[in-house]
Amino acid sequence: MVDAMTLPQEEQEQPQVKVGPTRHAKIMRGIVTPILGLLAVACIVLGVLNATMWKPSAQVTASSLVNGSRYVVTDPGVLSLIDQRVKITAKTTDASSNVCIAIGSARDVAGWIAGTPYTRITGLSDWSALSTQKAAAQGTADQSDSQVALQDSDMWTKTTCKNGTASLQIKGTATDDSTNAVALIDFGDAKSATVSLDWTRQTLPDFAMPLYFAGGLFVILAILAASVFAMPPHKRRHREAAAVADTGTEPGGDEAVAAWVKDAEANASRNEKASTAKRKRRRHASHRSGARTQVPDDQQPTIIDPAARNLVADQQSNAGPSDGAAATEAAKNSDSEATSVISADELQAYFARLAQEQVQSDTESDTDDRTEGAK
Amino acid sequence: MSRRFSKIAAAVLAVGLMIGMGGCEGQLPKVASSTASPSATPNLTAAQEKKIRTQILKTLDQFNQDRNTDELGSILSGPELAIRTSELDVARATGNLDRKTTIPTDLAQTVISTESGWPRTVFSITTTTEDQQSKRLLVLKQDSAHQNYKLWGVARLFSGVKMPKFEIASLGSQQGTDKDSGLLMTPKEAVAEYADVLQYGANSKYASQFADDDLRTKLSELTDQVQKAMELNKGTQEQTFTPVDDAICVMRSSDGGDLVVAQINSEWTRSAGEGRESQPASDAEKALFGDGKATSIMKTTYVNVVALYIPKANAGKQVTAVGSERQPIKVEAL
Repeated sequence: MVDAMTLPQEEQEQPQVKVGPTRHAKIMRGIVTPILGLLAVACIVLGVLNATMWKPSAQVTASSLVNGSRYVVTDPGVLSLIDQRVKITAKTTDASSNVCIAIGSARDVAGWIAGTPYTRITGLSDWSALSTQKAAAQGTADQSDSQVALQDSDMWTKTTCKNGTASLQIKGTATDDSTNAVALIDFGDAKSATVSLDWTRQTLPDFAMPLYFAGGLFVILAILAASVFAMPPHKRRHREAAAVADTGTEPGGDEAVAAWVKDAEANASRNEKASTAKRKRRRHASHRSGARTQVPDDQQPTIIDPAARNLVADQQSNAGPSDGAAATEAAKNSDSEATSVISADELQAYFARLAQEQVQSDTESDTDDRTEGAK
Repeated sequence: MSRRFSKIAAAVLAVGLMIGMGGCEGQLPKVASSTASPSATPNLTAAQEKKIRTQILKTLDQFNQDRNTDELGSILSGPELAIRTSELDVARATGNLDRKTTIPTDLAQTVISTESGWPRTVFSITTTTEDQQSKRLLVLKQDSAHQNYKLWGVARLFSGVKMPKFEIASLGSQQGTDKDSGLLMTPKEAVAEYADVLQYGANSKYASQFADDDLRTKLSELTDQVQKAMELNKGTQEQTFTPVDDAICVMRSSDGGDLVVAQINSEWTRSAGEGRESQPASDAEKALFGDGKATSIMKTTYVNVVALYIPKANAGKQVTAVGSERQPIKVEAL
């Protein structure tokens, strides 16, 4: 009843609202939407630029000048810092001195350089420079007889030696892997040298896709700002109810109207019968367990579960026409708690149908019992 | 209201531009500290082991053909250096290299140590030879970082012997020491006691600790035969076995035991009685003795390599010799 009252009220209020766009709508459509649109365009343009002009280069080369130590060792993980494929180049200022590069495990390299100072390559200081650090290897230098030259040692997975400039390519395969390996560079007697690492990136970082995504979001926001967000807030909130009142074409609105009509009918019929019904009977009926199971049935009559039915209670409720009337009354009484969507006539017809089904199911269960007893 | 919106818009624009401009090369990558413990990895891959072993065996084959003993030290060390030198000396004298010197190039199994320091060892078990001789247990040893792996010891496995199980090459096995505990006895004790068993045979107080094996049986047969012959001409014989300090390589098996390869030197002194000369006892001894003038006493020095499996304590098992090598390296008349 309260809902029904609000409809005419709103209809009365409707003509008071000014015709034409509000200030809020003007801001949303005139300022916010263009800004969002610009942002969307900017994001997409930046995305395109990142995918083309500003695309990160596949080749990353970082180098560093080292001096004062014979050995240079990369820290574990440096070789595979940017990609598994890396080319190590060592170049001495003295073109005649021998340069060796060996790839091995960190502990083999540590064993080889034990007791001597060396230069660590710890990583990248920027995109074109390696960060280095002076260090002294633990342990004591190997003084044993029958020592072999670095390139002749069994320990390295890969090694190369050249005069002046030496370079070594790691392919990043299972047998030629840079993940757990470190590079040992031996400059011999050379005073200073340059070490460079040259990675070839197989997978480039994709900065364009997030920008395209952001651009898409801004487009959606711009559309929303121009439509939904531009509406007056109160109108947006009661949009559905208003639509029902105005047009009545929406399916949700149809149902609501139908529900109101049926509710009104049910209330009217209940008021009529309430005066004639016997209170004692009603209470008595409501105490029956059968009545309780039947109460929801009159609201949702389509659900019939023969297995869950209390047959004793059903029997009692079907004992006579007066009992049936009591059940009907009890069902109607429950209307005060929930809204009925079934008319009194329909309900009567349903109970008649139910009584028939019960007689059938009773006879069926009797025969079942007999056959089971026979077994 | 419009001011608030333009502020928000400006902020969004600034963030958008920062993302766009910052995206030129991406964030500078940092070296992640490695989580895997480096000590748990084997020192060599199976491929590296194969390369090293093949190189050694190829060089050794060349030296065998050339009967070159001068450069054996570049690929051999420990007892194998002494044994192969003697074998090539014998081959030079007799013109025939003993069949037992054959080392197959195909492997049945390789056991690579995970030792991070030095010395490092690799135990490799070959297949049987082409003429169906027993499998060889090769011990490759790297003494220090600046040296390469050398063939340290070769033991011919006894036929039908059951070898302990080891971790596969890609996992690596723990390298043991001569003081390993938790075993029936420490490797050092086992070698010393086995030397005693070789010397005294069944009379050794340690005899019950060791299962019967081919080396023990054959040595005692030989000793008995020589003893009988010596007794006929009122001569005497004495053989002493001495473990060589630090000439021991130990690898832990996956069942908790130790496989030990060790050098035991022995001296065999034979004194002929009644003014007779004591002669070399075998072709190898004869070749090594050469044109030497025999006297009544002959002392031969042997290098023995024994491979012992020491089970873990309280397993109810005996120490078992699984392979051996024995070669006279010096024959002298006193």
